[in-house]
Amino acid sequence: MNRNFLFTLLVFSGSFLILTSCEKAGITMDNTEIGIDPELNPDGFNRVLQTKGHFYEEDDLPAATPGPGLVVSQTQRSVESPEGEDIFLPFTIKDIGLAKVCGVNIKVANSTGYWNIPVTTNQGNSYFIELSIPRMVRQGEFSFVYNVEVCYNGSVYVSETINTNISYLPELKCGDTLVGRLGLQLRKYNLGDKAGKVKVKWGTGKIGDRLDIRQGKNYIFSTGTMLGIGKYPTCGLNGFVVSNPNSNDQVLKYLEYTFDYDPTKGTSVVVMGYGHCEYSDTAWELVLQCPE
Amino acid sequence: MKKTNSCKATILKAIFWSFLVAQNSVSLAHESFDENDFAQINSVISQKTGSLENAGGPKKSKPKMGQHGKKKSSAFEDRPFNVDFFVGYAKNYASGDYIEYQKQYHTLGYEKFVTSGEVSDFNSLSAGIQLRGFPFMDYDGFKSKLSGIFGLGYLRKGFTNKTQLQNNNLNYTDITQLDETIRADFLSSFFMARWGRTFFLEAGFCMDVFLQGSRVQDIIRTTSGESAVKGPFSTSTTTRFTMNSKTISTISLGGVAGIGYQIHPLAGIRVSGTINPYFFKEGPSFTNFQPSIQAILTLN
Repeated sequence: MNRNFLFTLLVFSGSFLILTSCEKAGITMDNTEIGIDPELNPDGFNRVLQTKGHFYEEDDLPAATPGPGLVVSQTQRSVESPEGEDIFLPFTIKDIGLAKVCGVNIKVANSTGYWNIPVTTNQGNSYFIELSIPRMVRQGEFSFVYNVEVCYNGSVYVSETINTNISYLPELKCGDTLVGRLGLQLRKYNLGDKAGKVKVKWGTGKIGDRLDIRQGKNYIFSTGTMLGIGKYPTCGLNGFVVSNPNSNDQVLKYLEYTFDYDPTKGTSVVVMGYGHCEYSDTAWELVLQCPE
Repeated sequence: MKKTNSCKATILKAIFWSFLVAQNSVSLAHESFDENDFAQINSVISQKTGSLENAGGPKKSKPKMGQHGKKKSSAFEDRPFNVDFFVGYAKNYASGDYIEYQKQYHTLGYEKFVTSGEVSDFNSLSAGIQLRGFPFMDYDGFKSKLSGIFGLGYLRKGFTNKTQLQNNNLNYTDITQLDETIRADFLSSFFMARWGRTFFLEAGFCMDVFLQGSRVQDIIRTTSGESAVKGPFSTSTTTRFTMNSKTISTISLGGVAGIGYQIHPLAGIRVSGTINPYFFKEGPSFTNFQPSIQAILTLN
């Protein structure tokens, strides 16, 4: 084995190792968290959304072709949602006569492809889009963009595009205080394995907000009429109550309610807070105490 | 991108100059040898290849250290070090909390979803160069079989994680598959002590220098069945993330050990393993154990 060969081998080995060490362009993995990062991998996130529907590869949602009177209202600008829980996006369509809502096109903002999914009627002309985010998706901030399809007389009309920001957050533990503002907020509380009485302390101030709590599919607390399985609070419902009816009050008043907690039905409950539908300076607070 | 191009240009220049220097030194070396030198070298090679006792280094009975440099032929024979090239097959086994989290992930089915999956190890090339020195060549007994090794090699670490999610709440089949592959390349430098000539044992420590890494996420979504909404579909996407020294430890220390057999004075085989518990700079523990089988060729 001559020295020429040795030098050549050394130089080539060194060159290979050094060249491969050059930084390559691409998305940088900033942490060791597992799963899909909704902000860094929107294409992947878009494809793992769990919903009953059909996926289309086209980059953009179908263009708006608004028919007369096709106005989508009472949509959500922002939604807080707990990890591992269904997300629902409510909206209302007024005065579409004999036409019917026949679907929604939805996608994760800045991703390729979109979903066409059926919508569920909540009540009257109030609808909601229901999605599940699998646990292979990490917590984070992202947006959904969507538009609504209305069918009438063999034609399909498409609404303008709506954008909703989602905060996908971890669950809370009993004793934590939850603060809400305008719009819809869903947060999960882990109440542990101990059965007992759970005290809910809540305050909505001088502007009415609606608060609901459900365990599994069953509602166990509401500031309004208790909802049935598969229903969600909307703007048109009652239960948007004030805890400080006296306009001179300077300190937030808390109201209390106690319910029986049975961990065999699930160790977590979901708080659904609906900040007043019109007044942007509304705010509410809620504390779920540990079972006693 | 600018940074990358500049980096490569600098390296290419360095390679070019290294070649010039290397070629010049080789040609100078050739010029200083004459026919007699080569005849003596051939004679020495015949002696060495004649007996496995010489494997892994010069014989004790050869001229002492003080005679080095008197003649070029002697210098070749009594060279106090060997240069080896090794190449082989390695398997990377990943373990630690980080891997356990991945496995737990496969059991996180909830309500209408069922998840499953597996974490798998992978095979890779193992190659490098090592320098073997014989500090006790003048001694008898145990010490005489001791040698020290410094080497540089290529290592690849990582794992593949496959997670499958099935939505059982539908009247058709809907499967989501996430295949995640983490690979990181290292330049491993190692210091070992070797005992033995024909059969040998080695042990020491290694220092792995991170070169580059990637995390690739392949997502495949497939529906099937007559009831699928607007018909079945299949969609997929691949996203590649770069892992740099923000995430991966730039330099990490580990251990290395092996056993081997010198089949021929210039060739041997070795089974060795490296273990390094420092992969991520922060976060959960992640240990890589890498057994390998290698062929070793002595270059001088």
